[in-house]
Amino acid sequence: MDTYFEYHVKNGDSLSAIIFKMFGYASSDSRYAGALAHIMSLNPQIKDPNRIVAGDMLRLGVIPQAKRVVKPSPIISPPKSPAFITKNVAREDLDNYWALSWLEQNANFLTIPGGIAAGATGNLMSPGNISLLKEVGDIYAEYKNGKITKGQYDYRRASVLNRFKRNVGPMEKVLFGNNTTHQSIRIARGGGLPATAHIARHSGRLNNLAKVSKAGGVVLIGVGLTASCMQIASTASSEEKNEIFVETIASTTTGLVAGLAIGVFLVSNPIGWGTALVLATGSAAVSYGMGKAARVSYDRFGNKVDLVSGTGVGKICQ
Amino acid sequence: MSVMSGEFWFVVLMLLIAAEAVLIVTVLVMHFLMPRIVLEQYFKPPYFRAGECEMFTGFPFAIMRTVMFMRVLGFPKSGQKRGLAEVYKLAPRWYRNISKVIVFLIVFLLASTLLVALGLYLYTVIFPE
Repeated sequence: MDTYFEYHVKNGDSLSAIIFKMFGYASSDSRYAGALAHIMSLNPQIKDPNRIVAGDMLRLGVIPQAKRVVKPSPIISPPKSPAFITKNVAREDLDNYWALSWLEQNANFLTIPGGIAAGATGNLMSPGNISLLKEVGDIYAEYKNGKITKGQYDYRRASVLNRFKRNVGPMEKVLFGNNTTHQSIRIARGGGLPATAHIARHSGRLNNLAKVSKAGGVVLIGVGLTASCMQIASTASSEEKNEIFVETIASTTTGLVAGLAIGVFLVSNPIGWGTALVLATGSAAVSYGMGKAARVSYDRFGNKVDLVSGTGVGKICQ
Repeated sequence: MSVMSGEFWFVVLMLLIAAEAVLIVTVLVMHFLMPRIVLEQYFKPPYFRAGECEMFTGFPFAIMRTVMFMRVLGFPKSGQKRGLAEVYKLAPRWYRNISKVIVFLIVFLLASTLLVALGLYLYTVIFPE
């Protein structure tokens, strides 16, 4: 038998106000209809839900929750059209909508590996590593100015390049084609080129790579936020909208703060490819895990609060 | 709401995340308020390598440069390795004090947000409804 408690209807009360006050379900909430039906079943004396009178006694009980069926999700969801694009879409625009739809449902599969790749490249091409290459030019200048001997030049050049080679590891082939670091970072002899021309060319190229990875990270954050906004717009359930919102905000803010912390560490530490990959994977994992943990926590402990409406995000992501 | 309840810790988590967002905005504001003389005198070789100067100029990594200088301004001893221990003399006291708080908050908020989220997650997994 259902357990219930009694509620005295006050002046100005309506059933929708009571449901919101007691259960936190707004009339737009998908759970509202279930709550109303349950209250009506506990109070058969109410003939018209729009007419309750101050002083009436209502029976309220725990709303039976429909069990959420968790379907195993496929690794890549086949694109299905979300609710907000099914109406009045011109035939010639369908392909674009399907692409948007795919992005909305599979953004994680783009942003997570993309974030790791951009992060690892950015970390590896940190100023600490690129400056190792430029150091070769400085050592050569010292040699030509007579400050160090040929033997000292050879030794210092080899040790700096070995350090760089060790740091980039298997990425060496990607960075310099089929050449080794020692073959690529060499002094230009003849051909009318300045002595450090090859070094400047490769340093510039790697700097550009670092810039691309920086921009890639920003673009991926934008893609992730846009996809989340689209998910919020296309989801009917208020609870699910809030879960997406909490997950997005938690993962984005924590990811950015983790990025600040890593940047402070990287500035004085030239790191190897292994550490670069670990840092990138670690920060992506922290960001992703943070989002999932916040979502699970909201689902369990915070689902009475409508953050999407409260923050105005619901209006933006329509 | 009991301190031992999941609801309490969820609210704590949300407040920490909100604080992180405010922190990011505050760092942005501090970025624009960074005394120009600090950058002119110290954001160059030999304090920073040429590559570092290139990397930390322009959005978004210039924000990291600001955080680095804020650390040096708030905690002068942390700049000894680079020869930046005297930089704090170029910044007003209020900027140094705020820098100290922000650097502390970056570490504190990141660590505590991760800890609270991990705790809530483990609790949810170990004690399902």
